[in-house]
Amino acid sequence: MFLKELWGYSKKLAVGFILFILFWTYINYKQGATAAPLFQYGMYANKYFISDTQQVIELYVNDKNIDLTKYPIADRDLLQTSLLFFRVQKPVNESIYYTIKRILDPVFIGQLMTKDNYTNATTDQEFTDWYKQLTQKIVGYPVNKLAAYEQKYVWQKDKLVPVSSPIKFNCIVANP
Amino acid sequence: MLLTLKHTRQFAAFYCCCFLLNFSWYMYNRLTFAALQPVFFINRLDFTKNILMLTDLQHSLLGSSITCWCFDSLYVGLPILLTIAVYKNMPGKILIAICTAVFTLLYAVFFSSVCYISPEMFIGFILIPLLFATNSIKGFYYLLHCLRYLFILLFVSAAIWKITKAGIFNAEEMAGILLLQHNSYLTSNGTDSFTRFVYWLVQHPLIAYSLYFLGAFSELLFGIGLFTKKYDTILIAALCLFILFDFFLMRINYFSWFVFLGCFYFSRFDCSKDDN
Repeated sequence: MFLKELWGYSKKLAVGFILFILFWTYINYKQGATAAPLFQYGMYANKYFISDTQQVIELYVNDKNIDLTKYPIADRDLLQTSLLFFRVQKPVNESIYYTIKRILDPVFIGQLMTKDNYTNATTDQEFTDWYKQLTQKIVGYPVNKLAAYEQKYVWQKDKLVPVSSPIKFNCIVANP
Repeated sequence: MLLTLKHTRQFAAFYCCCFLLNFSWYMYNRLTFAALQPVFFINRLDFTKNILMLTDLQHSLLGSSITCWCFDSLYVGLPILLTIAVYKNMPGKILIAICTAVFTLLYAVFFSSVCYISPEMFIGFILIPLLFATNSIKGFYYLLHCLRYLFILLFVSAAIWKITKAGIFNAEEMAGILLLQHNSYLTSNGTDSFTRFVYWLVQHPLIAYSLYFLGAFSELLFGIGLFTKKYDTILIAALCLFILFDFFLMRINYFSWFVFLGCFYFSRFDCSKDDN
């Protein structure tokens, strides 16, 4: 048996290996926070249905809806996730800060955590400037005007059809 | 056949090639700190990450191109240095191996804060350097098998998640996932062959589900590796197919996990009882 052999070779390595597995199993069992490099690999394990509402980002560059399929997968993902992440970063960062601090407070680490360390001071204008530059690099031409919308789609009659009005991403500030 | 110093060098070369190919893909796609020059970060419910954030490196990386360049250079430099150290059997090899693993973890934690790449993608490059944190062939042999078992558990855990969260029991699962994963692609372009293929799968949810089931089955198949090394060649083929299909169908890049193939390839070699 491998563990017995490992124990015979090095007790320290065997203990480290067993602890790693036990802690990792515990993290998977709890299904909450992780502790890198002990991750959870539960991606696409929840139930998904054809009738689920899909949220799609539509990006308008110089008043023209850009066809995201023209760009490489990585660029496409970068354009979309940057917007989504920035929109939620404030509540997400705050919520995680309070959750982790509450858990780590009984040990001295929690007391070292200050809110400023865990939040961004980035303004919408700063984000817009950065995002504009990113878009420019990806589309390959000057971006004078930029807007993004979130449009809901549902599967009807064998295709995705838009439902409700698109919602504007307010984190992209008005263009001059 | 016995494991020799030559095999450790071959594994180091394989690791370095995988790493450099992966890093080249990241560089080509502007997925480095220097190329992104991030202006904000997003946190994750992870203890290691939140403890590392006490250093405030996350703010140092925002808007500071020097820090970004330093991070990228160390990230790419350490694996190269480690490979050279393994080839030349340098005395500082163990220290370099540990530094490479620790810094890769640090890089993964902070990089996943500024971009959509999840830290799980880096797991191979975090763990594999630890293989070389030993001066003996016997040490390499045991570390290799420890990592082989860890990867098997990682893969099997993905299948167990699909069972406990009931995704595997849902006939519409893959059709729902395909719509979620490719929604912006499908709505942007309704004519190309990939769009038509995804639409066809959604219209035939049971065929799509069989692909999901095959994926989960191949993850579960890795459980055999916990009991025997006899089928490691089959597991190598299963992992390659899994990664390729994931890329083709889901457009998710798991190529960084190819580095674990080394653990399954070199597992066939035994170690001599006299090795120290």
